[in-house]
Amino acid sequence: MAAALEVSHLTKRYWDFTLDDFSLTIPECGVTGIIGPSGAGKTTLMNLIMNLASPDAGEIVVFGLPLSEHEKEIKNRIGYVGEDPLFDANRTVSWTGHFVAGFFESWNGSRFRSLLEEFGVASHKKVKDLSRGRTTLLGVAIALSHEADLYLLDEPTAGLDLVARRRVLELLSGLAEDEGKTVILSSHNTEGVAEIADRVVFINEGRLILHEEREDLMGRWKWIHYRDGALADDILTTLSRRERRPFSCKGLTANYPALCDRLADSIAAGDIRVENVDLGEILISMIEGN
Amino acid sequence: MLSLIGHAFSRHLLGYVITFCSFGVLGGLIASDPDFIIMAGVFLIAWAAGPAFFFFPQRAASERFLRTLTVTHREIVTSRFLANLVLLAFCCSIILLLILTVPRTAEETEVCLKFTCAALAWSLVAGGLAHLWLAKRGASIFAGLLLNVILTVVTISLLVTTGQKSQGLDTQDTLLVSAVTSPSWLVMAFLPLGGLWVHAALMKIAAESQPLDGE
Repeated sequence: MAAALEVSHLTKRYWDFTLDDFSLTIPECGVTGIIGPSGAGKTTLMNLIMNLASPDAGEIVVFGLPLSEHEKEIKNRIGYVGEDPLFDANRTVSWTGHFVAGFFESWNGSRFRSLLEEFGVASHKKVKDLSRGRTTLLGVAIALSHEADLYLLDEPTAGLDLVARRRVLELLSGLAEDEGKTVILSSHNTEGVAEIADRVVFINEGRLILHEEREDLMGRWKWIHYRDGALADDILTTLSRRERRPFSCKGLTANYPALCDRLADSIAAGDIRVENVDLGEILISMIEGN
Repeated sequence: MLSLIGHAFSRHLLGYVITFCSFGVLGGLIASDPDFIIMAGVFLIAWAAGPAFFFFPQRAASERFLRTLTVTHREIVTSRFLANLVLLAFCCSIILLLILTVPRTAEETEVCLKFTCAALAWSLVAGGLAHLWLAKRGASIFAGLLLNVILTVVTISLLVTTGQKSQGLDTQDTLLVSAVTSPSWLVMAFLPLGGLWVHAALMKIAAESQPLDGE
């Protein structure tokens, strides 16, 4: 599968933070969730991909085109929602849409209007009169209205109510599943990513910790609940975050498929119980492990 | 590109308007205008309004917004430069008008015009190249602002020393030239300096025209 985004040895230094020798390849189609704690480097990475900041080293290639040489062409194929809305606060929503339309080769005005209507964003209102959530939705409507191939969304559900959040995630998921688009969304909150991402990227302190298919990741990480003596010592030592409870113990494994056969009999006998792990728990474990 | 230039023009226009509003105020201070207190008050407002309305945070935010669309950094810088060129032409025309309308000998006027053109060319070339260099490096607006301040200080120092000593220009003329040649896209940097001459020149015109009126 061709790559939608290739980031090679990307480095960006700030006085208090460094994105360090970062490499990542994201294939076309599907949803990739970039998650990590606040200050991990997600927004820095997004800014570099949009050329809102210049890298100190490394290269970014989007759909086979180097960003440094084809910025305009690449941006025409990207629908971007930034962490902070940058619209002119004194302009109306409809003016903003009209202004933005002139910058893209293809602009679907009817889709823009229908998204605004669906999101409940009044087109006659000034941007400064919109709530934080509605302003974010305006950004999402713009990003989804110019027939992009790659969608980059930095915390797209921040400030949204549950209904709007659900709808935005559905739209993004639909773009990937129905239209074969590539969606990359970053979040410090794992919930949205866990719901729709096909691939998960963990970033912490400017470094790539993990990049894996979500199903594989969730298949690898499991809570193992066991009675004392039910687990062999060599397995026990591989478990992290071990806890002793009144009637059983539990520990976390990052390599369940390798243990699966050995644990089968104990699971059948009821001595061991296996439980799925929340994506957030995996993130915490990996951060603590690093 | 036209819409970008229009956007940059609208963003910079306010800065220029503020600059020109401050002209008379500071000139009034220097010339001990009877409306000194009022002018000082207006000047302070203009001084505070300049940075608040012009540079921070509107321009930075709007240009950043454009870059989240399909606009490149180079296009932003080019449109800003072209918009400023239009505004600069407007400023130049006013100042040239003042040079030509203030009574001088033909020789004085020629020196003044040549000096203005030379200083303007230096400012455009030096300032333009420096800004393009900054743009290529993806420097922030703050770096551009700092560069403008430095360029303005250097320009005015050069003008005052060479203008007064070697060309025989008086203070008003050197300040006038400074107003033109201070990096024009650097309105805030030359806010207090640019205003100096126009009001003083107007005062001079008024003072010189009074005897004529009395005759």
